Amino acid sequence: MKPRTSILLPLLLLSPALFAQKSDDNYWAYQPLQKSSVPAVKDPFVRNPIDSFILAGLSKNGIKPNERADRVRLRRRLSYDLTGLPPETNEFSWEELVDHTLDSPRFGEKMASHWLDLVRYAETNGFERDSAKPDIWRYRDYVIKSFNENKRYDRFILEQLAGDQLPNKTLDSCVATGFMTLMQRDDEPADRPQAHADRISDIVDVASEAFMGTTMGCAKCHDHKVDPVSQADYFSMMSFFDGIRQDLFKSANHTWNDPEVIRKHEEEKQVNLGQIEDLWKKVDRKLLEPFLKGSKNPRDVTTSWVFLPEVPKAPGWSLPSFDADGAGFKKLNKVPRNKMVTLRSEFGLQEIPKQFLIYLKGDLQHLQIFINGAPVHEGVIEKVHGEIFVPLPIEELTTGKNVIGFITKFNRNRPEIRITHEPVHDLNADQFASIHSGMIARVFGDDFGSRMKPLQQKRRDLERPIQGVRYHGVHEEGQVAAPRIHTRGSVHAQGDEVPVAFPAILDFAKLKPKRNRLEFAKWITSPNHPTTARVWANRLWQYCFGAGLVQSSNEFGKLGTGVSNQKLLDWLAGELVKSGWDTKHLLRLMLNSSTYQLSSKGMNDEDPTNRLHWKYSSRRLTAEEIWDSYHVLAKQMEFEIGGPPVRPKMPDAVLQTSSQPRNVWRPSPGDSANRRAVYIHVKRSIKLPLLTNFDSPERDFSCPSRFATTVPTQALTMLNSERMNELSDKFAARLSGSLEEKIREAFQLGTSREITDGELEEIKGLATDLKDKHGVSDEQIMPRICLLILNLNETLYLD
Amino acid sequence: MKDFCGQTNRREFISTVGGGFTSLALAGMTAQGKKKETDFAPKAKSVIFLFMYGGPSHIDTFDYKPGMKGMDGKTVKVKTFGRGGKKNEGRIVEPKWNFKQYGQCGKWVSDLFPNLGECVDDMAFLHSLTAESPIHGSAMLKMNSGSLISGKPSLGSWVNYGLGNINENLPGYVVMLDKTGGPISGAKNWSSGYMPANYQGTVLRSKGDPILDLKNSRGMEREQQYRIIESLNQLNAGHLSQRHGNTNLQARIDSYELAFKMQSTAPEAIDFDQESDATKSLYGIDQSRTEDFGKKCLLARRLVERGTPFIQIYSGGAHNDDNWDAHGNLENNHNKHAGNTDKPIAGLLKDLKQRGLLDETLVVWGGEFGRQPTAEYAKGTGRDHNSAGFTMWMAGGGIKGGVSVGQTDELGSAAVEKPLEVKNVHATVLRQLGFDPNQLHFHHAGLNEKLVGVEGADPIAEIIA
Repeated sequence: MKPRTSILLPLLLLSPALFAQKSDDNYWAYQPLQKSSVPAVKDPFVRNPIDSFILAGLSKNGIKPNERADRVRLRRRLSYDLTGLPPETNEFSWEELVDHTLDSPRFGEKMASHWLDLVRYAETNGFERDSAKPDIWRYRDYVIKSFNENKRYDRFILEQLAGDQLPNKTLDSCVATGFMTLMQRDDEPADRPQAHADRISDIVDVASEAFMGTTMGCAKCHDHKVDPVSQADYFSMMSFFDGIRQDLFKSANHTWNDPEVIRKHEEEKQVNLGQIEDLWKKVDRKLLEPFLKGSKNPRDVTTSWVFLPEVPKAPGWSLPSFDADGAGFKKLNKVPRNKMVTLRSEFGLQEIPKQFLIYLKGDLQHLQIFINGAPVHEGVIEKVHGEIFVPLPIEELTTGKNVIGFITKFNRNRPEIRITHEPVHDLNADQFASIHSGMIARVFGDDFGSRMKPLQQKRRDLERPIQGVRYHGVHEEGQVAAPRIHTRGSVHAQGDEVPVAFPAILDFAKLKPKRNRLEFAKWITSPNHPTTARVWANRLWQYCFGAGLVQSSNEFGKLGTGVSNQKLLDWLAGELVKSGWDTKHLLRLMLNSSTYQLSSKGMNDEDPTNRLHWKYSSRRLTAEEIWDSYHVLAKQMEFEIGGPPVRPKMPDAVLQTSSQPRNVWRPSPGDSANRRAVYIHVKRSIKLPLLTNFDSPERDFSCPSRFATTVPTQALTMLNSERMNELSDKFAARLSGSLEEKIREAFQLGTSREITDGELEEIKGLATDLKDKHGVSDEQIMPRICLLILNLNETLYLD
Repeated sequence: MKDFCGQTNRREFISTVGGGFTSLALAGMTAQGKKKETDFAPKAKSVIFLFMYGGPSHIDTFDYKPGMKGMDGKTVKVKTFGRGGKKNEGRIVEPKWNFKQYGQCGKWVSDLFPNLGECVDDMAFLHSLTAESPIHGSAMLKMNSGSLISGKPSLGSWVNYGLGNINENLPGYVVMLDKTGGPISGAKNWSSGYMPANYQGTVLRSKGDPILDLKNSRGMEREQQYRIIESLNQLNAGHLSQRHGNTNLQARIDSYELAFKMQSTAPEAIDFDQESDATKSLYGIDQSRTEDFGKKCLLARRLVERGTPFIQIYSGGAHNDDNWDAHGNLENNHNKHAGNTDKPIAGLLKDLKQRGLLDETLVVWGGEFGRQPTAEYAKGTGRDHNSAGFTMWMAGGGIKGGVSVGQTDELGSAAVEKPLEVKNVHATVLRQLGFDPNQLHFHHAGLNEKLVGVEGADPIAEIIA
């Protein structure tokens, strides 16, 4: 057996089809979950069932697992795998530490970077303008929040596919549909119908790969050559998404108004109205009658407004022209918007009226009124019911000719201003609230006025529209044509009509679904779906162990790598469903297993790639982990959850690669960009070199696992870039004590362990040489050493 | 499935292993050295792609339309599809430059390219190119990666992937941009897409710091830096000794040595001091208007000499008249861009030839599309985009000189004889480098993805020597 394994394992990597050849429609991944019984293995290694499965596999191949890794390595490993950050010191036991770390808000941020790769999350559309997807960051925050809350995984998927169609939809469930807007979007496609179809099929492709571990893309043009997925299956799948409105991809034209907030608001309005009515009951409303009788429209005092091009110097601006007949003034027709304007009018009075009011329509930003040269009103008056009455003192009026002047600012260019002495409406209690408090005070006394005024203010506040939450999601439009095959993927070559159905191979119950996304989402998240639970259990395994039990974690089909331990995978998937799709439960199982805690040491020719898990597979930190760690080490990290994306400074040379070097990436002010990498703006056409160089993927397709390349240009960035040198400075600045103490502390922070004597000597030797042979000043020694520590393999690798 | 199971070369290895173990494979490559077997004996070792961003007008450059003389201002029925949408008729703007015959082959070339005219016997003209989209964003991606949407690896990535090339002393895929900025979609045009990041293009500048972060931002001297790398190596070696056999760690140690070397090889590559005045003058470096592009062309030759497999130079950047996108005044625009590039490109071809390098260097010239025969607006000479028929040319690297393939109609509005697709150009490039374009693939998302797409494409046989 032994010699065969060593040949077989590498072969499995190279030719996944080996798994496929012998199978037919009974291919394991499309069968219902198998109930796996835990192998009966008695061994101190076994801490939980995972270890039994692993040990059984190892024993069969005559391989012994490594010993447990040391405490320092383990804590570092756990911290990075769950939070993407260097470990903190504490005295927790292992199991306490696992729980503690799973409860950290940093956990959701780390899981989000996995998830955002999977759903090709980006914040712009790509192509010529690479314009923003407004407010799409709420989707990113939704993902973080969902992981932190340990949202049931089935619900998490359901919301992303059909959160807008759920009977009890919430803001979160609607934001979740942002999943379907993340693709690239050409705002001027040469072929619009095709572009729409391509965007819809992008949703199908990503949903298939990310949620079902099944690559469907090739079935768009022809029946799948290896897996039993037909072209009809593909376009049947597309039919569930076809109704998504095309223009939704343009903007965040969704506003969420929380029903609860609306209800409360209405309630408050009623209370306020009640209070106003109560107050009115205490006075004789008839005193207001002079203002209230009459027709619906105010009876105008005849005026003819003129607009003065220049604003005269108030006060008393109208005096010089008081006797003038208005010659030379233009007739009022249009008043410039949002500009200070001056209006003037003359009118005649045979007698002095009892009341005198100004009636206005429009949003005023400024208002000053003069009667016969005397300032009689100053201040802005809030609009209520679209109308404003301003009572004016009658003392300034004379019989005969009067002049009234306005200095004001309007937001419309045809303001409506009338003068009246016979108001106005039959007001109900609600409308009483709109009567100017000055008039109320005049008629009913200051005491009454001052009690009414705050209620009126409150009323005005409540009249303002509720600020909803804007987000980038989808909804459906009414009618869509019957689904048809697009021959060779072309929307212009419509082929046969296809039934609305789920792909035959995955449809365990031969359902006859209705054509809506909710049905589709419910099908995917059914506990009986053959792949959904397996796929998620496998991903969680990948996130803990570096590679999935199915390494091609987006591809469970025959073109994938096959499964290294199907019984274990099925047991995990079963456990996931049984626990109520509890992500943290599954992680806890994995992390508390002996298998996770194995040391990474040694080589084994029987299983060089460690598919059987006799050791922990050492890994390099991801781009985000590098970014985050270095900012933490340099104490340049603001931990704060969520919010709009940030833009750290982009090197000029990189800006210059854009077609809009000056506008493409405006850096966030000050230190506000010192946040976790998951909050950095994801712009399709430009990226920070530190992230791209360390294999942060293009977010154009679903990326199930990252490459980890090693090239010299990484070393250049790590040694020479402005940011790395800045971070080294800041890292050095946080250290204290003697040179040796500083070196010890920096080394400990970078690698999580104490420096050895030999290493200390090496670095001290470097310090001496830098000073003596290279003339480096004392202040600059430690930044250089910090740069060295940030470049250490041990800082960048987990084992 | 046969080819899928049967292959055990490194290329296949990387593509199959999804993640987690990839760096192992790459590290393995470092150890094994970089050359790998090709499908055929390669004709070309390097490719220089001269990208005329914005879309040069074919009928004003290399696609001679004598019949249009005297038609200026005439409204004709012709179907066009450009930025401004689909139209059924338009006002002719006749070719604005005179054409002359050049070389043994007697090729007609417009007065925009008097210097290139002298090279026509080495050039193969493709007059019947079509691109799927007449819109910059998608057409750029198409020309660079074979796909209208981003996320696919670009041609240079495919070449380096095929060759199993890893960046050692110099990056294997170099992109030189216009001084006004990059093209629309920026780095998407030289992205490695779903392939590992080591196959992405590296932007090289012909002056200043040639590669990003090549020099220390704090001005640290080389000796000092080397001293730090020494300590780094020492500490990394100690770390490795307890993790014997971890090739990732070894590869990363090596990468610092390589980076240190690159710090001298890259500036050396852009250092023209060794070049004679005659050479500089050949490229137009002695004249202000051709100096910039001339330097890039000379740099390309120097990179070819240093074994760089894929070099792309952009003529034009940013938007509007900063590139060949002549919507307004055709004459001003094309006089400017042709005037900046004619001498340098001719210099490049002549220099490669006199050094015996042209045989193994494939030069490709073209934009993302051509331009319409009719005016875009009621007034003026501006032409809209045309992806239904346009011209590219190739030279060197086993390409026949003095030949022309395909034709557009009498107005140059659409390809009528032997229409070619962008993927035929890509197939030809791969073929000349020794690859079967219909075999070279990368496994991604359940597909054996190829640069030339699922349906494949043939190289353009008529121009292969």
